[in-house]
Amino acid sequence: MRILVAAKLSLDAGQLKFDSSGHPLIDACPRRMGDADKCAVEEAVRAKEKLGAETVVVTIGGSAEHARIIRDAYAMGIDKGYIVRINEPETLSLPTVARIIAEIYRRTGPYDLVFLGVGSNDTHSSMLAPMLSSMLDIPLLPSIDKLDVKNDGVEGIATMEDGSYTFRARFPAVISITSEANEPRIPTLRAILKSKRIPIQEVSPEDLGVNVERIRLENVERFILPRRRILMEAGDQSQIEEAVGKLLEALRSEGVI
Amino acid sequence: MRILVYADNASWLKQLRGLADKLEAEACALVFDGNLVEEASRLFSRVYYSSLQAFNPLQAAHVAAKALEKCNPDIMAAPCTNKGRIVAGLFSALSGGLPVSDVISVEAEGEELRVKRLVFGGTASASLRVNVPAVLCVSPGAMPEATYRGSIGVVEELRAESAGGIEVEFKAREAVGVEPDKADVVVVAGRGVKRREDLSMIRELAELLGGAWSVTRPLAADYGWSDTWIGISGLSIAPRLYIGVGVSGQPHHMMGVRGAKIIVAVNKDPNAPIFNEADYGIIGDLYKVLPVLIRRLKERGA
Amino acid sequence: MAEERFDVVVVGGGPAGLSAAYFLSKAGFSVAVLERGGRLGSKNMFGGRIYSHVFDKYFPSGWRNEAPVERWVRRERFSLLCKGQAVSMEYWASRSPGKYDSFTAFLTRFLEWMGSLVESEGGLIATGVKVDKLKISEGKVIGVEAGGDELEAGYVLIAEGINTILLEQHGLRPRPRLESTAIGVKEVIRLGENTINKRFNLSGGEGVAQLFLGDFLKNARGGGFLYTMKDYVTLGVVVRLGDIGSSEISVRDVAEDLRLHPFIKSMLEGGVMVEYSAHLVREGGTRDLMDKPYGPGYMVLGDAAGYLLNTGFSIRGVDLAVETGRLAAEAAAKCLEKGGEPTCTSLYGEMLRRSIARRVLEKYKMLPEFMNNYRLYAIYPQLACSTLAGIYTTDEEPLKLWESLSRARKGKISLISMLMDLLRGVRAL
Repeated sequence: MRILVAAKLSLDAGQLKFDSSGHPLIDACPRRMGDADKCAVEEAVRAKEKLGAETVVVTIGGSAEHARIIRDAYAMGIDKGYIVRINEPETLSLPTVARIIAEIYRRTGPYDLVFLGVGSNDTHSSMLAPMLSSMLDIPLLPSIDKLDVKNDGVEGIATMEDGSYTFRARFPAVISITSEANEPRIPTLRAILKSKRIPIQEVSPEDLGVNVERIRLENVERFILPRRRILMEAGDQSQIEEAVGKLLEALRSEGVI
Repeated sequence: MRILVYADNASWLKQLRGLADKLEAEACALVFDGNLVEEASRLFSRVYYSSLQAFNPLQAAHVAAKALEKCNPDIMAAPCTNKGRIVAGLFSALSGGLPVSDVISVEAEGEELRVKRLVFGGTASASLRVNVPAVLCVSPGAMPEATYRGSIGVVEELRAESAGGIEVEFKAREAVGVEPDKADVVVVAGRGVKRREDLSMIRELAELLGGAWSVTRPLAADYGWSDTWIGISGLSIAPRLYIGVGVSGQPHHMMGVRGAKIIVAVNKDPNAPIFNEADYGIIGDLYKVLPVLIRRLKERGA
Repeated sequence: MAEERFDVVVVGGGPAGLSAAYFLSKAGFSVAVLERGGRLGSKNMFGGRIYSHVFDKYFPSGWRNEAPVERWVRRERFSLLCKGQAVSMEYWASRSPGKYDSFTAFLTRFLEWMGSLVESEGGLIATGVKVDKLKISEGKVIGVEAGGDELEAGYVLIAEGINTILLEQHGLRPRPRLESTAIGVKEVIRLGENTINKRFNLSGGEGVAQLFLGDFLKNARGGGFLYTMKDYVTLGVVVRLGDIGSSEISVRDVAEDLRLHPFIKSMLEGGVMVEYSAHLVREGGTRDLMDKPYGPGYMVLGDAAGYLLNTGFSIRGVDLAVETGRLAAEAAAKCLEKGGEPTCTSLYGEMLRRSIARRVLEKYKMLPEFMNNYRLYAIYPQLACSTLAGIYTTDEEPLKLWESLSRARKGKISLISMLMDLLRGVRAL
């Protein structure tokens, strides 16, 4: 069996700060492999341990940090990795990203499974998996919380707005994994040292014959919905009574209760 | 301009019709749920309907392709829900349109769109210029709900081809009272709620307000107190009133409640980030504040 | 299971450990660096300044262009802060002092650079690895154990930093006394390059190092520091743990009071704090040095061995650590060439005794005693402010310096004490 995992280096959005004019301080924000992507790597390694497989990871970008997430995936047990070298990967259009991964699939394949995190930590569009499925014309198992890879196919359970879905498909299939799917392993010392010795394959979008399209980003700024921000201290009992009274009155006059 | 809208509930049909009106676009709708056909026909002049075996992404792709061919849209729109994102992804791959998710505003400027979307867990917005064809996955509450048109649209059923290659089994969510993504009032318990049995307090408050209750991700995913949660990885909601009880306000949770008209927070930590995004905040111990709130609501009811 | 073996295993990916790993791998030895933090430098306390001498002497000559230097320190300022007042002194040089100066840097980036040097020489660096214990056989350290995995090595270099978990666990170093421990708090504030240049009167890649004493310390012994990075300013305090109580909150208050002092507030206006950290800090200096920073099969480097200088205001350690790393590498290389006798590590002890790092610490031997003096933190800043206020605030009759000083010190401090302190200061500094 062969498994391809796509992982993205993403900003830790919870730690993002803004300057006084509202511009995000991207450089000061730590970046790492997305949480859901890490779970996707974990699923690939589990499938390998269960059934035997060659596992391959791909990421897009040119920095040392991109190489680091490949090494992180190696340390977790991935066998081979590709970096698609390109500057400013964050401004690539989503179809370009999908085409790059589709070309990796075609040119370094065949693969039985393609794993992706359902969304990244920074943009969380969650559209890459359906796009890939459609481009490659192979089944999609979306937003999978619980996965079971078998010899001849795969079964995954997803929770959506209206209930739970169980998807079953034969190989090949594209699977997007949520961050609830598993608890990614912490690599051992031996695995980390081994990960340093595995080479990383480098390719460019040109090598893959992908025409690069960028989004036309005009501006990124802090987003705060205008809220009233009326705060009431409620330490002792009389303050609590007063605060609750004021709250109920306000909600009534807003017409929401 | 012409727009094709996919929606999976009545409120979303209205919100996305609202988007079409804003762009002064001719609009068709695609629904996979028979119960939505009538609603859709009151809002859209053309409605494509297909009954899918549960939600089968392959079938959805086939039907989406047919709908695209029939409607021939410049813009495709879907809600930023789990399924909506999947359909939006399919729309993009099928049409070659540039997809933009978590859209909070759209402006037509000649042949281009100026789109604002949320990024970084909803803490920032990015402004983009987008050519058509474009695919917009819209954030809950971002568009005004449109009202019914005077006329009834034409409904056309699209045959879903057999779902070769993938099998789907669906189990509807067990109805625990009112569902959070359909309720006018939602009370959400966060990590400040210490014990599972204390959720009864949350439930009682929700019932008194005629609304639904839910939890944040850690309470569901880590403690297993609920099957679903509110936030970008769970349900996104846009109620008239949201009350966060012991909720600190992590970006991925707040992104799921941005559409709420009024946000109320009860938290004993005055530095909890939720207070920056709340309309009304009570800084106090939820175990002292909630009983008073519940009592006062009961008094009023009696 | 076949165990992996390296010539040298380095515990800790800080300046000392990476320096040792760099020189060893450059000399062709196999080296693995094991770092507990997820990133190099993520566990370090660091104010912002590094002295360049060790790099100038021993690193490739192009290092100044390759290392992530934020700014070269060209202005040294010292300020005494009182309520609504400040007295400052500045050393200003029109041209670069040249070879042996100092620069500001972010330690994580700087260590990433050092790490890339190690890796380009073939050394291995593993982050997120907590070494559980030393592997000891017949009284000799022969490797390490981490999470069930074992690594064997000719020599183990312990460069675990200030928090000497491993050394204490094996009884190689006593737990530090509370009195000799301080707590450091640091904020990183973004101002933007242009604003920093304008506000601090800098151009090009020039930077400022500024130290503070005064009432923000609330009578605790310690000090404040400010360093300019390219777009950021680091502002922090170091305070004796014994003086402030053990809670971090009160140190936070000290840092907050420093930041809110009008003199500093105006420098930082419009800034956004992007990082806040608090770390324990050893007193350092000769009293904190390990008697025997080596033993059969192991050597102790950098902060872990006590090679840091806490001047009271700020910590100087990176250059000293890098120097100990270089010496350990040299010693280990010689020992390995001679057959790798475990007891050969005493060579490191000898080299260390004659080292520049040691001489620096010896030079400031009297400093802790001098810095122990409470008058330094509470009385003198006030005295300076009042005296100068007396001179510069004229009503009918201006005060002369001596008159103003006499007035200011009345009832607070005797002339004798002042002279004694002055003498001590001259000897210590």
